[in-house]
Amino acid sequence: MQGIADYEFIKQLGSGNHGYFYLARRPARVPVDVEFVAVKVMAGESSGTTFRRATRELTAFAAVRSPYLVAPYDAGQQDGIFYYSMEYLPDGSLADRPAPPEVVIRALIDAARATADLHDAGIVHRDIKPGNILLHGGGAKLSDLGLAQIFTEGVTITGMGDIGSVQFMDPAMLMGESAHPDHDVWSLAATLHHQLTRAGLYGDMSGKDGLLILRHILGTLPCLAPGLPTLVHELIAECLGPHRPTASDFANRLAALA
Amino acid sequence: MTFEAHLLIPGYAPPLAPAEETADLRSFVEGVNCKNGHFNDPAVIYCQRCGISMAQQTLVPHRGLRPSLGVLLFDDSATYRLDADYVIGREPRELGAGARAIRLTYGVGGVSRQHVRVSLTGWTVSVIDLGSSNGTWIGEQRLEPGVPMVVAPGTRIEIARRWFRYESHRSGGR
Repeated sequence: MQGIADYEFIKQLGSGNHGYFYLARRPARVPVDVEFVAVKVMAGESSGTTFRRATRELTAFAAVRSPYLVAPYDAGQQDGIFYYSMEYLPDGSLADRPAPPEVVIRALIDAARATADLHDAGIVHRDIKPGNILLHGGGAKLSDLGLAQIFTEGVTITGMGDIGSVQFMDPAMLMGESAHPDHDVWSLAATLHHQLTRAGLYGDMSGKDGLLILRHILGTLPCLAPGLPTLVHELIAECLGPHRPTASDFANRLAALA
Repeated sequence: MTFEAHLLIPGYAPPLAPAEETADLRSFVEGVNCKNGHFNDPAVIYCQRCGISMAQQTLVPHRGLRPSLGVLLFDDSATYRLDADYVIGREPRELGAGARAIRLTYGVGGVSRQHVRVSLTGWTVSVIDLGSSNGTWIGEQRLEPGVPMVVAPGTRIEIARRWFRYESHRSGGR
């Protein structure tokens, strides 16, 4: 793709659940003081209804005043393709390369604060994972609200992007529970666990295809890798259980450890 | 080159429109609550949400909103929540009444426009061939068009070169 609407793409940044990210030059129409923006182009047809609903969700997301959230700038559609543009953070995400524990913990504190700010506004993120936690200024910002279910109603996994990221999704959501703040807390804990231990809650899934991964996840209980500091282990275990801390508690407890 | 765009930046963004709920396709069914208040199929022994045993409990059946009965898991690992009916095919749009559409976009040679419907009745899931040209298959069996076939968790349903499974963590009956 060369561009969309009045965005001119410079390069592809990656793909996520249900779409592709591009680096683009900011069009003059968008009143922010930056040269570059990130643009997400959604797969799947955009109709009048999906456009209205997606734009509404993004407007609500953008209205949450939080220093820990990536700022969306603009949403639109052209020829039945939906896109939105947002702040571009050049340092990449937690998924790009292994980071030392103190960086991981700082990033997760910020991501949890972002999540708490969303929850306070009545928004569930639905897609928290290492690839959506963008490193920035020693901390991080949370990006990319999960919008897949707007484009395909009822979908819990689109089958696009890296299927391995399904290990960061609360299995209750996979099994069809509607979105709840507790699911985000589960994802924060799964992300923290993965970044600190380099192991997934379901063991090593590399090399398995999508279907095997899903069957494995639906048939296995999450299990923490050994070697985590006791307090971190306890925090993660609590976030996977039936009585979870809030995102804000999660941030505070991690901050107390850092 | 025409496009439609809205700024999202606070101060520039249009006022937030009222939430536009999608049609709630969930139905009411007869069920029972576990001790923790989770609504369940009266035929199961363990709560499907929290796993608590309901065997020793006096259960009072009542009507409630049917929870998801599991997922449809496709060969490309796309999954769909089973809290409503689905119509699956190449162009499933027109048959959307009371059901969501799953449009298959590749590997669709031999898939009919409206190929198969997955339908929820009470606490069971059934599959109905919609008169497709090449049929809906479960193993060696071709489904009779228009006749619902109840499927158990783990069942694999084939339509031409594509397939999907009904997956659920639901355990056996009482």
